[in-house]
Amino acid sequence: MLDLEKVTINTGGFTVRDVNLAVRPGVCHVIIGPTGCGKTTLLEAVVGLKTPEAGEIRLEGRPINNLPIERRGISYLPQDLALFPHLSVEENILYSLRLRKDKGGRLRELAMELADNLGITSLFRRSIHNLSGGERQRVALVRALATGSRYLLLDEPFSALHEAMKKDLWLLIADLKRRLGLCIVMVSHDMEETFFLGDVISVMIDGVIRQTGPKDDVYGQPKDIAVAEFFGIKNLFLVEAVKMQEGQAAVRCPDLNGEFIIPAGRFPDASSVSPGDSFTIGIRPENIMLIRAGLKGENQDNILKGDIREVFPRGPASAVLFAPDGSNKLIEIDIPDYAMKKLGVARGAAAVVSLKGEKIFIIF
Amino acid sequence: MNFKKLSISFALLIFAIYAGLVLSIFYFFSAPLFLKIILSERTLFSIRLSLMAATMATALSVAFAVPSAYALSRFEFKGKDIIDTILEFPMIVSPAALGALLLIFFNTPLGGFVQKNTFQFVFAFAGIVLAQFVTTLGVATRLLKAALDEIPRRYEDVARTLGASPLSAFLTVTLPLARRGVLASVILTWAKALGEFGATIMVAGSMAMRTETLPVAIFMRLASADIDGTVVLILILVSVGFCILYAARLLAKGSCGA
Repeated sequence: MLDLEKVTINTGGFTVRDVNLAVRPGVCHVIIGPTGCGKTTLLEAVVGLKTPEAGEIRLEGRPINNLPIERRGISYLPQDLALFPHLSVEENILYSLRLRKDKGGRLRELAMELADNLGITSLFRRSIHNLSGGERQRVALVRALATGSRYLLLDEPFSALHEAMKKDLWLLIADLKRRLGLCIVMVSHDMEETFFLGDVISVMIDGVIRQTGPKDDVYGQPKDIAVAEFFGIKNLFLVEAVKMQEGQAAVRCPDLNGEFIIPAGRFPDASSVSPGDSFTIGIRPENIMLIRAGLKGENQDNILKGDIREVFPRGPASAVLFAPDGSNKLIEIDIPDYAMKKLGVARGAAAVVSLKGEKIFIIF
Repeated sequence: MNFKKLSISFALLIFAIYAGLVLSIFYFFSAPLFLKIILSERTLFSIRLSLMAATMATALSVAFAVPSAYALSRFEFKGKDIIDTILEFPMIVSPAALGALLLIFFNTPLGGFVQKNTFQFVFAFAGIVLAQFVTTLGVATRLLKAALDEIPRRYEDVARTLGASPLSAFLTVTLPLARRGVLASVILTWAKALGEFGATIMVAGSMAMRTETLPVAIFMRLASADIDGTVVLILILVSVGFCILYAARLLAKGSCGA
C-alpha cells in the first residue's frame, strides 16, 4: 500500500499542496489533470526525485520521505522512457540485475518471463535506436518491472504513441496489473486512457487534488465546477431549491427558464437543503434526451422546449446546441448518428429535450 | 560583395593567417639537420619530459575536474556561480602571472612547509606538473562540464529507480554516455598542458636537460639564435597539435551519447 498524507511539494514558483492518497495493491490509481497542474511533480516526489516540503509518503506503512531513490523499491516509467542509449535491449532490461544480488536467479527469471510475455525477446540484441515506439514502451516496462517491485509509477508513458498502439499497451498494463498484483500510480491527461486503466481517479488542478474516488463516481458526480469543467462538461446551471419533498427536490433554473425534479439520492446530503438554497446542477451531454416536438416523449420529466442552434458532427456522434425558449443559455447534447437521422435533427428545427433527473449532479 | 561572401572571406583569412605562420617556418627548414636535431639527446629529453609532465598534469586535472564538473553540471549549491566564474581565471590571468603566483606561494611559510613535506616544486619536475595542472584545471573542468551537460539527468534518475547508487549511476550511465565528450576534453587538456610555457618557466625555470619542456626548449633555442633547432621543435609541437585537434574534433562530433 502506498500512502501520501498531506504531502506538499514546492518547486520554486509552483506548489503541490496537501495531497492525500491511498493506493492499494492491485489497483491502478490515475492522477488526471491539465498540463502543468503538478501531476509529474507529485510522481517525482513519490519516486524520490523531489523532496516534499511537508507531509509523509509511506510505502507499506514505512515512511520513505528520507529514503534514497534506489532504496525505495518503486519502479518508474518517465514520459520519455529514458532507455539507456549506450546499452542494447537486453542490457537495458537486465540493468537492475547488475546492481543487486539476485538470489536463485529469481529476478532474471522474472525479466525473461516478462520479456517473453511482452514479445520482446527477439529484440534483445538490438540497439535502442532501432526500436519502434511500441517496442520502446515494452522494453521500458520490462526493465522497470524486472526490479521485482510491485509499485509502478507511470508518467504519461503512452502520450507519444498512436491510438492503436496505445490501446494494445493499455491491455498489456491491465493484464500485468492483474497477474502481478501491481500497485500502479499513473498520471495522464487523456480521458480515454484514464477511464480504461484507472480503478480510482484523482483530479488535480493547480497543484491541488480536487476529487478522488472510483472512476464512475468521479465521472458521474464531479465535486466542483473546476472538476466538471476539466471533464469538458459545459452544462452547468445555477438553480434554486423550490420544494423538498420525500424522495425528490424541485428546483427552479432561471438560466434555462424551467423547473426540474431531481431525485434526493443525487444530493450529497439532501436533508441539509432547504427551499431558497442556491446551488449548481450539471449534466453530461450524453445524459440529455432529445425528443422531436409533438412526439409522446414530451410527457417525460424535466422537459424543455426550444430550438436547435448548431449541429457539430463529431464522428459516431454529433454535438447539438439546444436553446430553451425564453433563455439565453445553450445546452450541449450528444446525439448518436443513428438518432440524428431518425429524429431529423437540423439547425433551426424546433425540439424538446428531457434532462434525466437521475443523471443530474449537484455542486454546492 | 554580399554579406555571405564577406563572412566566408574572413573565415578563409583566419585559415590563411595560421597556415602562413606555419608555412613560414619552412623558409628556415633544413632537411639534413632535421633528423640530427630531432634525434639529439636534448630534443628527445624535451619530448620525453613534455609528454610525461603533460600526461601527469592532465591526469591530475581530470581527477579534480570530473567530480567538480559533475557538481557544477548537476547540482545547485552555494558559491556555484563564483566557482563557475573562477574556471575562466587561468584564461584571463596570464600564465606567467599564474606561475609567479605559484612561485610567491612557495616563498610563504605555508609554501615552504608544503615543499618541505611533499615535493620540491621550484625549479623541479614537480613544478612543471604543478604549473601545467594549475593552468589546465579550469579548462578541463569547463570542457568536462559541457560534456556532462549534454547528457540528460533523466538517465541517472531512472538508473537510481532501478537500484543504482548515485556513484553507480554516474559510472554506468552518465560517464559511458558522455565518453566521447570526456575523451575530447582529456585530449584538449593534454594539448594545453603540452603547450604550456609561461607558468612552467616561472616555477621550474629554464634549465637545459632538467626543466626543458618543448615550449621552454623553443624559447631557449631561439634565445641562443639556434633557428634550425627552433624550427624543428616548432614542427614537432605543430604536428602533435594538429593531430590532437583533429582527434578531438572527431570525438566531439559524436559526443552526445552513443
